[in-house]
Amino acid sequence: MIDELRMPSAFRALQRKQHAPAVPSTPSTPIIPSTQVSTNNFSSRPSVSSLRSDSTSSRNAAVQAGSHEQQALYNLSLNPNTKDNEIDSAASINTTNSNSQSSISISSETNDSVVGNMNLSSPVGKVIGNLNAASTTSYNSKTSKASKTSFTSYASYASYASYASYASHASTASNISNANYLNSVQSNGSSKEAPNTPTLNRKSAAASTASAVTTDATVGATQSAGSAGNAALSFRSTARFSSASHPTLLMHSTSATKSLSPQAVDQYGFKKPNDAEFEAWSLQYKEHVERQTQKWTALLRANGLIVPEEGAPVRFPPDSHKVRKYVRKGIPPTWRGNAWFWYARGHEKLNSHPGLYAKLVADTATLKNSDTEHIERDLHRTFPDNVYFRNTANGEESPHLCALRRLLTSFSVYQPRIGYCQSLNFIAGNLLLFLEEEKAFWLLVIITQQHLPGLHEVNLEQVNISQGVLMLTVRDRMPKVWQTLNRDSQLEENFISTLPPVSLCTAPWFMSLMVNILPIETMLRVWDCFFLEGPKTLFRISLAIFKIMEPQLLKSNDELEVFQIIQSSPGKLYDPEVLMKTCYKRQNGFGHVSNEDIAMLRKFVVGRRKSVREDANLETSDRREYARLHRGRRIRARLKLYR
Amino acid sequence: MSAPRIAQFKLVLLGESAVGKSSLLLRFARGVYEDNRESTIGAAFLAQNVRLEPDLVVRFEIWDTAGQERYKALAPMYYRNANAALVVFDLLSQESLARAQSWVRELRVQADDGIIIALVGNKLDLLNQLKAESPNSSGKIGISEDAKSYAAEAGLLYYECSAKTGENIEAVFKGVAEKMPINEYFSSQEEEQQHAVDLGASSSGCAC
Repeated sequence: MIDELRMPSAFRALQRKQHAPAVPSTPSTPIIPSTQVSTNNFSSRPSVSSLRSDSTSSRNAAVQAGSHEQQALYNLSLNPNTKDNEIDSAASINTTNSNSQSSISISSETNDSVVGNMNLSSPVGKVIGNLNAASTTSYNSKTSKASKTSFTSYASYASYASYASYASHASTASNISNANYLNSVQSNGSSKEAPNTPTLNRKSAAASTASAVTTDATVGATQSAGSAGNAALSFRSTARFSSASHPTLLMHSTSATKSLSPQAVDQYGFKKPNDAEFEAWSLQYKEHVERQTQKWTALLRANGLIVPEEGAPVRFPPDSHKVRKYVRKGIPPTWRGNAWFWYARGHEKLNSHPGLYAKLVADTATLKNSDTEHIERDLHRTFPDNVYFRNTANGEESPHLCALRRLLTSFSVYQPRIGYCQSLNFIAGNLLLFLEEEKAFWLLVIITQQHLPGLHEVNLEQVNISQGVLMLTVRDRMPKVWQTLNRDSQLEENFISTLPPVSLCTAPWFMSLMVNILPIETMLRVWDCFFLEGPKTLFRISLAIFKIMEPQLLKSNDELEVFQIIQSSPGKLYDPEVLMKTCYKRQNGFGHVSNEDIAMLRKFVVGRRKSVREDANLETSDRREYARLHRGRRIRARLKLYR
Repeated sequence: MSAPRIAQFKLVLLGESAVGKSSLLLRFARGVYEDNRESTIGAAFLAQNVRLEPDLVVRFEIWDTAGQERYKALAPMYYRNANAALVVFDLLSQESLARAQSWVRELRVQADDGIIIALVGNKLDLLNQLKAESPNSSGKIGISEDAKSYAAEAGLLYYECSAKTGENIEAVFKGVAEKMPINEYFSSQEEEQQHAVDLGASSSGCAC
């Protein structure tokens, strides 16, 4: 139902650097939104994390250096093999103007510019004993005009810095169970002359046993004349470590506090559904996840693979009966991004196109066309109920929103046959909650090239074809359900060429890969199978959803009720076990729906749709043709038996 | 008092993306508004009643559609057998009006002949706000005039409304409901029932 609160995806990527599995020695550096970075010279010295600004550098110099530095930045953030000592660029954010100057830098000495000191100490490869990250950032801006721009870049940096550093904590701690990430903004009206002093304070402490990580980040920004008073942005995060469970990251901002208190947000940043059924289930699911994590750990070790104490493994066992069984039971939440990437063979893509994503981002930074226009419109309409996809409290775009824009824009250029298609925003958004930006990009490429080829292309004919195939499988396997879906006997004659209206409801199941259709946890389980087993998963799961809805559908009185059931039921499948069991149980399940079945039906649907298009007076109907095909199939199956 | 008579019709919402189709519907059906709604993929379905007279209710089977141009490929399914279409545009966007006009043209060619089309300008609150901010502005604000004259020319119902404030939303659906061929609906229902009775009688006759 349209008014159904859909609880979609995902969970923040607490990722380390690219391929490197173990403890990152550096906080992963964000790719700064290129629009904001254009006049900024930005880089970072990794392990020391001291960023220094050269406030004398002129704007021109900064601009000239811009592309180069940007490249360096990508290298830093994207290339895992870059050694610390290779990155020697001075870190600075500079926005200089003829009559104004504002600079942000992080260094230990300077006082009137940003001072930052991040100290991450963690015994490599072990559970962190103590983690301290503290940085103080002060911000100086003398004129109003520039202060706004520089604050923009600063704020986005600050939030990302705290995130990045948080991510590094999280990845070093595989067993954070609860974290609060509070983000608040205080406003105080201060005088024009007052030096602007945003401070970024981060302090984190974690004990390997059972203590807590507290991350305090306070960004106080004072903006001078012209801008609306002073704003102080403060981050506060608390993370508790407990025994085997997964990282949870909660975040809220004062502006969003009313609607989204920490308790109201799930571990992926989504507003929790207000539903008793959900509450009851989520407690019990936590245990399931813990059990699965232990099992997975044993499986990996049995395969001679490394399970780092912190963070997620990067290699996973090869596809086998056992692995499928495990995947269908769910991949541990913190491992998901890596596991998806591994099973979808993301590394092959990534390694064969080194630096391409960075180049695409740089090339498309100022691109304006109808695709980018649609991307802009959908940016805030992707996960409005997720704290990471909302503007920060001071109205800035969140790092996730900026990343989503870059990713979709780069994709639209890289895959011109697709460009931007509404629904890709949901897939990309979910990927960004689990993977670094570049990996998310390549996974999106793989999904659209290999898993769902052509589905998002401009004419959307593949959508109609996939729905035709789905309708055929429903008709074959659940004839009673099919009767409720297709009450109009006239339509039944040509149900492939004129799809039943219900296929409008099921089209998004495929196009957005169940994101925003199924509740988050259930959707993630579908994705687990999808990346290992391929597109047949979508058909199997869709059939299972119909199977679950069958009793309701059979009771329905008219088409209206049917549509309503199909629209609202999937969103209530909070317990993934129900769906997975219905789908994969041995008897009357759908685990036997094979890629060959799908390919055969697809061929039939393509053929039918083509002949109907080309010959308006076609005498045979879809129904009769399909019956003929079906008969042939039965005969062939019988012959096979005799052989 | 007897139960009201219910006449059921299919209504589709069409228009450029992000003009507020889903918001309009949400305001109409649930009386709420959210600043950011998830973009609609494919189509979303909703049934909603409009009471025209104490004993007469029009039930709309509403299909809310995705706005992006390429989703036109699924459009024949949207407006197959549709009795009414709300073609929505943004009162501040010339481009969205152009898109609306192309939808109207397509409906005229492809949809059922009797389809009632209403041109609906959304985001009236923004337009009013802009007007209030610059009362003496010589330049034209918004595209009301263009849209109005186009609607008159093309013989469409015309409404301006705001999903955000709720202004005029009821009027849109009520106005469309009044234009529905209610009498025809009931007479065709009767015919069908008569037909069913005939069939029943003849089949029972055979059984003897």
